[in-house]
Amino acid sequence: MQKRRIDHETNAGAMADIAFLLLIFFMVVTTFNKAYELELSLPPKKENTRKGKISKQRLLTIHLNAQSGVLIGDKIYPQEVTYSLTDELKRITSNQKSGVIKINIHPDTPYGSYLQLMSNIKRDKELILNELAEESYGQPFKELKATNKKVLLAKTAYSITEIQTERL
Amino acid sequence: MKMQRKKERSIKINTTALPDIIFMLLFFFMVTTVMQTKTISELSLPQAYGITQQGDSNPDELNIYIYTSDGAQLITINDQKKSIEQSNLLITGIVNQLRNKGMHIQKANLFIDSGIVMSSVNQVKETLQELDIYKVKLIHEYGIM
Repeated sequence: MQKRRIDHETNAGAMADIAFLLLIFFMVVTTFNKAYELELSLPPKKENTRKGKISKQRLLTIHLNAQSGVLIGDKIYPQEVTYSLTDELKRITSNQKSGVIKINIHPDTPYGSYLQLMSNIKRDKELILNELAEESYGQPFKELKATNKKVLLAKTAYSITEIQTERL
Repeated sequence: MKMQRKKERSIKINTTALPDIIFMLLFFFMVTTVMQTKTISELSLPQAYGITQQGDSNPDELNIYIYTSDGAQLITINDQKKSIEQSNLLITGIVNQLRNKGMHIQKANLFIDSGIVMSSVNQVKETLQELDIYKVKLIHEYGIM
């Protein structure tokens, strides 16, 4: 007796549904990588320039050289070496008055190393704020009330002056 | 004579090739899609420790791109390109033009290549100060420092 032939065809009708499902899933889930921003407030030009002596206690001097090296206080950090400014920031803001960060920038300094320095300052300020918030209120800084935030922000206030040095 | 009735034709469309076409399209777009992150190909944004993500661009904000192309430092605003030496003219011209149209330009987003020297950056900052633009955002990419 001859055997009956079995039909081996698989049903591919649902395949399109699966492909659409995948397509729609990835369309919904995909998020585009956004860039980050660092906001600066520039001072008005040639106005309100204050002249006066700043005590050493509230002054932090930083030098940026043309080879992306950073000199903080008396320590030199070559390019691509991570550095922390928390101790220095704590030192200059420990007084009653706000601290001053003076950055001497060589005209040939690459912008990348300048931006790294600025973001490190901002990061370390956030670290100090969180530390203080935990110490004083037992909460991270973000969860504090607006009035408490103001108190801590006043304690850690500093201003930055940038000076472009001359080429030798 | 009895007329023979016409056979009814089946009008079923064969859809077995449909998934193949959809998969082909899916793979084609998966492979060819390039996520555009920069408007200028020569620009490579510096990496720094990022805290704030870039918000949506506002029409009242001026987007300034500074980058090097073939060894020359260029500045581009609103698709107008100039060498960095002429940045003062370009920024002043565009800001005045926009202000005459009634736009209040008070903020600037700076997209600067990591290799640009600070003297050029400072030059642009000074021009912005002269034009009473004091809020400046430095746009960068996330990097763990």
